[in-house]
Amino acid sequence: MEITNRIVYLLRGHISRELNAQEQAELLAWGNRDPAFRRLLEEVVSEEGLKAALQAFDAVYGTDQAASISRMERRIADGIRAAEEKSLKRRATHRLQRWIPYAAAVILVLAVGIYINYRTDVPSKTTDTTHLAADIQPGGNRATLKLSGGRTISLSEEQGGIVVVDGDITYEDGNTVTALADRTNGRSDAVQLELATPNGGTYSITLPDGSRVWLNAASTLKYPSRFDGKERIVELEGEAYFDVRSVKSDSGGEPFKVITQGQTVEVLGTQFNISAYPDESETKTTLVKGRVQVTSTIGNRPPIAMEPGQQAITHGAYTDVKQVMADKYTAWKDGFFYFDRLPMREAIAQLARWYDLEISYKGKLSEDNMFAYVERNKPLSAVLRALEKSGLKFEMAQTDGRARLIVLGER
Amino acid sequence: MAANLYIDSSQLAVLFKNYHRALLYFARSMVHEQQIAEEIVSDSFVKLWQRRDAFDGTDKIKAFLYIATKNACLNYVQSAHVRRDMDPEAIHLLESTEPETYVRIVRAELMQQIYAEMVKLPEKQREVFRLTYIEELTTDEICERLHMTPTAVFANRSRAVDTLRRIFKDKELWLCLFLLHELLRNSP
Repeated sequence: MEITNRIVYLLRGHISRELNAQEQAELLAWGNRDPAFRRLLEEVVSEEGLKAALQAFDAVYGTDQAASISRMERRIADGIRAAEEKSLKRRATHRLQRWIPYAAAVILVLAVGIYINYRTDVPSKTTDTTHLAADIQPGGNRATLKLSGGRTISLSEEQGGIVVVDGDITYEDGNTVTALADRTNGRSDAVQLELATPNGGTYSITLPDGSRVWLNAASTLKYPSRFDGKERIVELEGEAYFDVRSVKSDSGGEPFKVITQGQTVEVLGTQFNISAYPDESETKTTLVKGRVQVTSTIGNRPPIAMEPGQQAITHGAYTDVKQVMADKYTAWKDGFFYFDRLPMREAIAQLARWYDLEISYKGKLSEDNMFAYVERNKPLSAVLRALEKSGLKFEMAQTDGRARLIVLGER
Repeated sequence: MAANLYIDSSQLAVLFKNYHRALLYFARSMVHEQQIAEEIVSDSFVKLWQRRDAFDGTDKIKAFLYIATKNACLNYVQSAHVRRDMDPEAIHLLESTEPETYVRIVRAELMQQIYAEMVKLPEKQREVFRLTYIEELTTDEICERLHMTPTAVFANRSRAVDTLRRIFKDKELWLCLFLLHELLRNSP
C-alpha cells in the first residue's frame, strides 16, 4: 500500500503541476512500466478523462446515497452476526448461551457507531497508534482590540473581521464594535490601536485605507485609526497576510510600511505574508503579488527588492531571497495547514500556536521534513494522524490544565 | 515492532466511513452492477472483521479491503472456475495485482483524495457557491436566503473559487465538477 500511496501522491501532484523534476521522473518511470499505467497517467491529466473519472466517483451510490449506504451497513451487520454465531457454534456449545448477548451488543454498537458517524462529524477514534487523552479542538475567530486609553475589547467569535472607518470600528457585517472618539469637533484625531490574537485565534481587519490584513494565531498588529501624512505605517509581531491597496497621492503613491522585529517591508499596493514570531529566529516575507522592498531592521544594509513568488528570510542583519511556492506560506489564511518539506519543529510550532499546546520532545528525533495538508478547523487528532504519515509519533499529557504534546523520537 | 491493532466495532464503523466509497467505486468499475458491487464491498468489511486481529496498520487494512474486493469481483465476473481465496500473507502483494486491475485501484484512491479535498470547503462557502452557480440567484437573493451581508456573500464565493482553483490549478474543470449535485448535497 505504501507504493500505491506514493503513486497516488505523484498523480495528484501531477494533476496540479506541483511535482519537482525528480518526482516527475519517478512518475514517468512508473508510467513506462506498463501500458495500463501509461493510459491512467494520460487519462488523469486530460480534462475529459479526469472529469469522467470524477463523475463516476460522484455517481457511485447510484440514485440514492443514503439507501445505498444503509443497504451496505445492514449487510455488514448481518454478515458479522452470522460469522460470530458460526464461530461460537464451533467452540464449546455450552458456552453459547453465555456469549450470544455479547455478540448482539457488538452488532448493536456497530450499527449505532455507523449511524453516529454518519449523522455527526464527531472526531473519530484513531485506528493508528495515537490515543489522545482528550481531543483538542482547533482555534477559531478570537482576538482582542486594545484602544489607546488601554481599554481592551474581546471581539465576537461569531465574526471574522473588523473594519476601521474614520471614527468607528465595526464588524464586517456593519455591527458596531466601538466608537473611537466623539466627533463634535469635526474629524477625530488618529489614535493608535492594537489588534491581538491569542494562541488558537485568527482575525482579519480592514484598515482605514481599505487594505486588509489577516492575523494568524498569537500575533499583534499595531495600526492608527487613520493614516495621516505620506506614509502608512503598521507594526507586526507574529504572522499576517497583507492585501495592500495602492493609494495615489500627489507625489506618486503613498507607501505602506510594515515594521517587524527583523524587517521593514515597504510596498505600494500588493499581497504578501509576513511571519515574524518573537520565538523564531527568522523573519520571513513571502510575496504573492506586486513588488515590495525589504530592509533588515538590524545593520545598515540597502533595501532588497522582491519579485512575486520570492521569500525574504532575515536572520539578524542578513537577508536571503529565495524562490518559493507562495501557496504554502499563505494556506493558513484559507484555513489550512500546508506542510510541504517543512522542518519538523516549524510544523510543530504552528500546531502549538493554533491548538494552544505546550510542546516537549522525547527521544532521538529525526529532523525529517513534514508533508501534510490538513484543514485547520479539524481537531488536533486529525492533524496528528496526517503527521504520523510523515513518521512522527505523539503522546498527550496535561500539565497545570494545559495540554502538552510530546513528540516522540525513535527509541 | 508495531503491535497488531485490534479492531473494535466503533473502529470498524470509522473504517467503513473512510474507505467504502473508494471501494465501491473500484468494485463498480469491475462488476458494473450497483447491487452486486455493494454486496461485494460489504462482504469485504465482514471478512476484515473476521480477521480483525491480524493487522498492524491502516495501510494493511486498506490493502486487505482492496484485495478482498478485487478477488470477489473477479470471482463474480469470471465465474467459479478460478476461485481466488484470501491468503493473509498476500496483503503485501497489492502492488503485484495485474496492471489492468491495479490501475483501477490507483484510480479509486486518487478520486477519493481529490473528492476529500473538494468537500473540505466550509459549508457557508459551498452554499453560497451553489446558490450562485446552480440556482443562479443574485447576490441580493442570496443575502436574503442566508441572512448574510453582501460583503460576506462575496467573501465566501471568492474563497470557494480560490480553494477550487488551487485544487485543480488552471483547469476549468473545478467549475463543472462543483456543479455535481451529489457532491454538494451529500457531503458530510
